[in-house]
Amino acid sequence: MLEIKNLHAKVAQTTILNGLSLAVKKGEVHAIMGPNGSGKSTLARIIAGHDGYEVTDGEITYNNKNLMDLSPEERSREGIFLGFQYPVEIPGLNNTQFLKAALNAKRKHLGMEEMDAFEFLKIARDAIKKLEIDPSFLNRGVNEGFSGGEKKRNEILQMTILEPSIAILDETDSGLDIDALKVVAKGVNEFRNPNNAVILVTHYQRLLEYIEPDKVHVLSEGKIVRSGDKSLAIELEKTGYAQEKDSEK
Amino acid sequence: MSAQINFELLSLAAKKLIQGELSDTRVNALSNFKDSEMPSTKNEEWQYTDISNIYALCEKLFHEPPKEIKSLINKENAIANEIDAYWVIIKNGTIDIMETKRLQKIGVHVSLLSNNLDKTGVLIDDSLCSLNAALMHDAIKITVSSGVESDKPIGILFENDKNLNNYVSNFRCIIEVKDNATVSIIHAHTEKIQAPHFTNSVVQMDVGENSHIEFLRLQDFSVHQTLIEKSVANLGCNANLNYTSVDIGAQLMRADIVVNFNEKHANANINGVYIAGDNQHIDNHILANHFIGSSKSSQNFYGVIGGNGRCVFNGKALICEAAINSNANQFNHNLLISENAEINTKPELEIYTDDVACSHGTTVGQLDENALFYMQSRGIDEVVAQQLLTKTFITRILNEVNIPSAKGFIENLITDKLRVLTQ
Repeated sequence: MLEIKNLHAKVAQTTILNGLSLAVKKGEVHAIMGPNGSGKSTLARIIAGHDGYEVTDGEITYNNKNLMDLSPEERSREGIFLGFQYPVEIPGLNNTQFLKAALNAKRKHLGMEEMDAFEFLKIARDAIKKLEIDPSFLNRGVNEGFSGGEKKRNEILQMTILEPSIAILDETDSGLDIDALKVVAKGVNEFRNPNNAVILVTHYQRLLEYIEPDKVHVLSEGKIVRSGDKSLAIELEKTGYAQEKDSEK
Repeated sequence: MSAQINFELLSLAAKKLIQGELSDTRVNALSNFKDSEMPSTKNEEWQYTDISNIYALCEKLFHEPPKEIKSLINKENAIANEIDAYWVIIKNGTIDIMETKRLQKIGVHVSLLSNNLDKTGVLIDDSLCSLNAALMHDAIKITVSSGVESDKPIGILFENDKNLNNYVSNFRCIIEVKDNATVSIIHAHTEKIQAPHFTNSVVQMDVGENSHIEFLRLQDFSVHQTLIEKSVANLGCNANLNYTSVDIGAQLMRADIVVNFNEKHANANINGVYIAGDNQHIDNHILANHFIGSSKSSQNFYGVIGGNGRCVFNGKALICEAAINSNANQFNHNLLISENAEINTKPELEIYTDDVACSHGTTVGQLDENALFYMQSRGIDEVVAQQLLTKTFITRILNEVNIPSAKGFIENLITDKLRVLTQ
C-alpha cells in the first residue's frame, strides 16, 4: 500500500531524513518509535504533503502512485490521513461545516454524490457516540478552545468520518490522560480492518498496550535502525533509545 | 474658504433647490461652508485619503443642476426584498407613504424635514457637512417615541433615479430616539451606479435615556462611486448604541463616526468590517468623545484587503478630565491577501484623567499557513480553504449584529465579495 524507499529530506540546510525505507501493507499496524528529533514527525508530514521540507532523494509510492506528484488535498482524497501532533485551532470555523466540507471533497473525488447536511449529521452523531465525545464538539469552532485531549479526540473523530485507507497518527497519545488514551485506542481499534493500515508515531510503549502493532520500528537520526514485533517496544521501554543509537554507530 | 469648490456656483445651485422651507438651513450652511476648509491630505485626519475626485463631480453638478423628479417608488431593490424591515425609501425627495403610516402605528414618526414643524437641529459643522446641508433635496427625520419597542428594523434607503445625470447626491438622516425606547435601523447604501458619482451623507442620532439603538450601515456601491458619510451620535444617560458598518464596495469610502457621551452610564459598541479589492479605498475614522465619566466605548473593526486595495482605520477615544471611570478600547484586525494590499491603522487614546480602563491593539497579517495545511490535509482545496479561512475571519462581525434578519444578507455580501477577491 505505502512504500518508502531511501527517503532523504531536509529543512533549510539541516538533513532530517537520511535514507529511510518502510513498507506498509493492507491490514497492518506499524509503530514508529524513536527519540526526540529523530525525524518521526517529519516523516508523517512529508507523507501528508507538507511543503516545508525538501525531499532530496528517494521515493514514496502509495497504491503504485508517486505520492510526490499529489497535492496535500489530493493525498487526503486518495485515502491518506494525518492525525496531527498539534491539531490547529481555527476559531469561528464550525467543526460540522469543516468535517462536511472534508467528507464531500473526498466523495466528489471518488465520483460519489455529495452528502447533504441531514445525512452528514447522522454519520457525525454516530461517530461521536462511538468515541464517547461530547455532542457539543460538532457545534464548536475547529479545535477552538479545546483541551489537549479534546483536540486528539477530534482527530480520531475526523479519521472515523473520513475513513482513510491509511492513517498516520503523529503522537496522538501525547498529553492524554488514561481515559482519553483509552478512547483514542478504542477509535483506532474500531477503525482498523484488513483493508486499511495505521502508522502510529509515538515516544512511548504505553499506547501500544492498547493498540497492538504488527511491526515496531526504531527511527534514529533520520533512518530506521531496527525493526521487530511488539516485543521490541517493551524492550525499548526498559533500555531506552540511547542503546539503539550506540548500536548503530 | 474652500478653494476647490466654486462658492458662487455652489450658492447658485443651492438657491435653485425646490424646498424653500429649508432656505434658512441652506443660508447657514453656505455661510459655514464659506468659512471652512475642505479636507486635504495635508490635514492629519485626511492624510491617507485624497478626495479631490469629488471636486470635478461637484463642478459638473453645478453646470447641470439636479432636476425635479416625479415620485417613482419601486421596491425592486434587492435589500428591501431580502431583509424584513419597515423600508422607508426616499427617492429624490419623495418618501414612501405606506411605510410611514405603518411606522406611525408603532410610535415611530417618519417625515421629510421640510414637512416637519421643527426644521431646526440640522448639524452643520465641517465643510462636507455644510456642503450636504446646502445641496440636500431634503432630509429624513425619524422620531421614535418614548417607550417604543420596534418589532422590526427600520430600513432607510435613498435611491437615485438611474436616468438622472446629477453626479452628486446629498443624503441626511436625523434620528431622534426618545427615552426608554428600543429600535434597530438599517441604513443601506446598496444602489449601484455605473458611473462616477459622489454621495455625501450625514446621519445624526440623538439617543434618549435608557434607550437602545441598533444601527447598521451597509455599503455595497459600485467601484465608480464615492461615499463620504459622517455619523454623529449623542448618547443620553444609560443609553446604548450598537453600531455596525459593513463596507464592501465603492471606489472611495470615507466614514467618520463620532459618538458623544454627554451623560453618564452610556455605552457604545462601534464595530465594522471592510473588504477592499483592486482600486478601492475604504477609510473608517471613529471618535468616541467621553465628555463625562462612567461611560464605555468599544471599537472592533475587521478588514480583508486584496489586489491593490487600500484601507485606513483610525479609532480614537478622547477621555476628558471629567470622564473618570471611563472604559474605552479599540481593536483593528486586518488580513492582507495580496502583495499590494495596504492598511494604515491607528488605534488612538487621548486621556486627560486618571482612573480609566483603556486598551487598544491592532494586527496585520496573512492567512495562517498551519491552518491552511490542516484543511488541505483533510481534502479541502487550497483555494476553498483560503476562502473559508478568510470568511471565518471576517464574519466574526456577525456575532455583533443584533438584527437577525440582516445576518444572511450580510453573509451573502461578504461571500460574494470574497469570491471575487480570492479568484
